[in-house]
Amino acid sequence: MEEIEKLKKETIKKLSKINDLRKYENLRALILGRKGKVAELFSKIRVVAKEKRGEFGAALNELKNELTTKFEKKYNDIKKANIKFDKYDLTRDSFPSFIGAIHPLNKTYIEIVNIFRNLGFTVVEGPEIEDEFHNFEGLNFPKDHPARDAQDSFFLEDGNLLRTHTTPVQIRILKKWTPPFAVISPGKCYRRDTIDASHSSMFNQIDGFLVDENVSVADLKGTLNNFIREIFGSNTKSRFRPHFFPFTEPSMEVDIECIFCQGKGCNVCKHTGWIEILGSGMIDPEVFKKCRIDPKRYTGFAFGMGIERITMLRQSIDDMRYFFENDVKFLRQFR
Amino acid sequence: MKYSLNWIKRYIDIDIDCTTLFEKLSMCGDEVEGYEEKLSEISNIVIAKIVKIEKHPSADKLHYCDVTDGKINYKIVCGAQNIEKGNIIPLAKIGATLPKGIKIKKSKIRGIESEGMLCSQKELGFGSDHSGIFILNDQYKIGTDFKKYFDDIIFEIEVTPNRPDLLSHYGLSREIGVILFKDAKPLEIEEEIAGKFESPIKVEIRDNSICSFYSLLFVKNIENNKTPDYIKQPLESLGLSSKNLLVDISNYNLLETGHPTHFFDADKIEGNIIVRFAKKGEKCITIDERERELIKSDLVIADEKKIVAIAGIMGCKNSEVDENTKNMAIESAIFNPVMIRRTKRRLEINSDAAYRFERGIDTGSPNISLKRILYLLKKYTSYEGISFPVTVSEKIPAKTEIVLKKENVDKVLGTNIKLDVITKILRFLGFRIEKLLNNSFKVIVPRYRELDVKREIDLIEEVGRIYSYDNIEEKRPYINGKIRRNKFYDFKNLIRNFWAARSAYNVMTLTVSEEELYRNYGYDGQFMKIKNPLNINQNVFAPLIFPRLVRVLIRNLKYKPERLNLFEIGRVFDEREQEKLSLLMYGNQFQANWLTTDNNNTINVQLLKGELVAFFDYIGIENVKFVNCDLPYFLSGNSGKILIDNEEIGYLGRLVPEKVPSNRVEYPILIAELSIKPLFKDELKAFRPFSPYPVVERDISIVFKKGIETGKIIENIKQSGTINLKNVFLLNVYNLSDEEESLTFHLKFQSFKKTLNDKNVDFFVDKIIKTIGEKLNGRLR
Ligand SMILES: [Zn+2]
Repeated sequence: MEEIEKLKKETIKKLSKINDLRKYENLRALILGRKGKVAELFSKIRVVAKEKRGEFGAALNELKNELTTKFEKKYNDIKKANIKFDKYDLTRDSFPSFIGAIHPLNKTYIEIVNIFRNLGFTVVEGPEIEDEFHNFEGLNFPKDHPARDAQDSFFLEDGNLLRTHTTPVQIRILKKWTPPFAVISPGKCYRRDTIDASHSSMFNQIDGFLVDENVSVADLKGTLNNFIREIFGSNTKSRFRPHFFPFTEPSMEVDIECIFCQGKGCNVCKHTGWIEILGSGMIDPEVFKKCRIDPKRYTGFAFGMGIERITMLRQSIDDMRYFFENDVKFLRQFR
Repeated sequence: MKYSLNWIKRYIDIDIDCTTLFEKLSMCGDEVEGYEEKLSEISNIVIAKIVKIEKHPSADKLHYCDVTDGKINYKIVCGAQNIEKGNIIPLAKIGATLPKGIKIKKSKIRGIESEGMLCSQKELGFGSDHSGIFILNDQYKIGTDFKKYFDDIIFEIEVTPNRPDLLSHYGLSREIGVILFKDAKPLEIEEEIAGKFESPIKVEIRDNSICSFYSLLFVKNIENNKTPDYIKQPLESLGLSSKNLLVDISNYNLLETGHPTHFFDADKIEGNIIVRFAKKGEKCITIDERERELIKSDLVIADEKKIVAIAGIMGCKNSEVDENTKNMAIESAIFNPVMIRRTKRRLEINSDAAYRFERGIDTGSPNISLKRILYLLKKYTSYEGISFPVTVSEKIPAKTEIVLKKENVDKVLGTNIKLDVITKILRFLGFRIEKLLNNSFKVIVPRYRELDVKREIDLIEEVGRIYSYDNIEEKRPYINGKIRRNKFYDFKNLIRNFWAARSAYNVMTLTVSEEELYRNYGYDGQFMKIKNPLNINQNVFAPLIFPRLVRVLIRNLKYKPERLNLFEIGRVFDEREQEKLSLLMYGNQFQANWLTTDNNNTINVQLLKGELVAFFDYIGIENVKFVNCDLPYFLSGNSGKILIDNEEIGYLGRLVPEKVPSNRVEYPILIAELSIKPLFKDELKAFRPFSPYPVVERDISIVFKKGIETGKIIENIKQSGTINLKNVFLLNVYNLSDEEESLTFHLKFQSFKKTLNDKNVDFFVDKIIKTIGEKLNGRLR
């Protein structure tokens, strides 16, 4: 027993003097190693009188635990004492790092699509190369309709064309799915336009539609006003102005109160106080019939809008060409 | 179409100001695109009367007049010869303004002071007549401002294609009537076409599909008078110059009723009128004095010798009405709108007639138009008599009848509109209504709406737009139906976010571009060509994306970027339409500064591969392989294909520098392009237990003959190792000689069952070395 007490005192004393890792390791091996002094004492258990073995064993274990803790603490102390930290001047340039940016039109897409998804709309993307049925016929543009003039669309050598709007997706879904459903469909469209500040041969649109029993103009207004408030602010006023589209009846264009002059009249709104932002209407029963949906049972509304226009309005971009020139000075502004 | 507000006021009293009216029109679907005030430039012109005319004492040709505005007498010097005592005339007083900012000042003319100026129509900026002073009649009250009578507002409406009935002043007056809930005055017309004799000119229609209605009226011995102001003023107000009475009446009628008629000089017609297709190459000279060459699908009006008009578009010079016309033939017809549109487009003639024929003419129009013309002819000129009309017509269908149910109105609009509101709206729109049982009606459509109102839904739209959509209470729909989440769409956004965060700019370039751009980089596949390109820069739907990224890079080289990474997700067409991701890496990815060194020599295709590996890891794709392969776009030995589950999905490489059309390029351009669909796996991953035991590491250096692909070596190491070999990577390469190199691999072992000891690992390593020796002739260094 005295041996135990002695070893303990000596070891603690020696340990307190050590301050480098090599000496530490040596001492540790000497005391706690496989052939160290503690192990030696353990091997003596067999020669201790039977009745004292229990007490001796317990004391030995206690010693081992205590010394182990002390050694660990010492090890950490030595480590800490030996590390030297460099100092850094944070006003200097950092390690070089870089970041890109999402295209502003894609940002608008994501924002708008999410607004409608939150209401329960499903995203569906259609092909950009379309046939005349989906792009025109199904949407009530008869063969000789002016909108079908070869002057306005890009026709392909295989007889198809590049879609002129995202509305063909409506026909695809009406034919494929059974109501009720609500769809939002973003994508690129093409028109045979010369590129200038407000025209481009490629542009971006979002179409949406909802078909169910008892869908009405009131639902259309509620849905689109919700969108307008989300995108342009909750106090934005809107008006639903009657218009004409071949595939909706009734049809309406939606104007918002001019965000530049608050409706007082300025150059942007041509002094009307209003800015047109989208087209909409109730899906024409003829369109339903062409897609074998019973117009007596189902009604639905549809709408479409230009992504460039909304982005330009909201972010004061005055020329559509910026979007497709991809100057990094432009792109990095809209992170 | 442009309208004159004064002209509109001939048919309807408008008691609201014009901006309110325009706003209301817009909100009924007739969008007013703009307007201009006609006499906005002039001021201080009054209606006055000439009380005395004397000769100017020192100039024979000048008059010296006393003019009164009812209160004051003015002494005016005037050179015009058409004035008489008692004439009512417009007087520009001292201080008055005339167009182009001309101010009237006190001035002496040949020694005598003039206190103002008498004006011609042209001087007032009001018409084209400059032959003399503008003489008014005594309907105009002396002392009133001239503008009060002659002020006009010209406004333009974007008439939607479904409303051809609005392409006339009378038509728009009817629409304004609905807005104001007032009826437009009925149009004054001859009650009957009282023919007195058989027309000497008969009509033959060669094909019924080209003309559903044709009526010809022969007017004998007509006097072509001077055009009265009543006809002339509104035409001039709209910018149409007056020609002669007959032509003016024809134009007036067109803008008033919306139906284009044509007046032939009957004495210039040889034989009968034939409505037929043109012969190929047939020529005629239209009244704008241009020669037109026709094709077989053009519709013409001909006599037995020649073409006298391109039907519905423009008459010919050879049969035009002029001052000497004695006998006249009036054509009032309906032509096939599609044929008119085609010919009009081809010949590029944008006449008022063609504009209306291509939009469609209702079956009531030709007769109303004829009767109105007869009324005007009778009132403003004289003629000996008219023939019985020669009419060739298809059977005119009965008026459209539609059953309208109130419940359907409310169902579509989401309203509960009162019955009498619905009927009131429809009545003012000109529909006749008969009440049926159960809140439904029989609605009879007037002729002028027969082209666009055919179904119940069309009536519902009419009710809705007049009731106003703004009066409908909004409601948020509950969306029923299957949940169909489009995870692929989210996936693409994930890709965009990854690359943007990974320092690449997301760009958007024009998919429709020029074939040459792709050929330049060595693309030799098929093109989806555009049949009708707008210009040679847009003649294909692109088969790949990266050449446009290079173009964006070149555009941005002016900023001398040390690095610029770009990416785009877009559609291409190569055998089929598909979506691709294209990447471009340019420049020093570890820009030199005080913490780094210049790492120019590390800009190689491995850099891009590293980014791609990170990308595949991020999106959770595991079975990716890169295969060395020379491709036409890239430097030899600097490119490869990307395989997922052994299926080729894309490629990467370093662009051949000479193909890049810019001399500002300073660094290698690295490109990758891959299909997106195969990257997307709609699966939710399940948890896989992992080993709790420690990893044991070993490095082995093996000498190989040069030319063995490292991929193959690693494959062999993996196969010959054990399931406990978790990871192999190339640590170092030593060049030993021209033939041999030594590769050092770092191996990581870990067991699922126990802590591996040295013996275990030695056994695995020996096995690996043995296999490599046998299969690849590698030996331990
Ligand atoms: Zn404004």
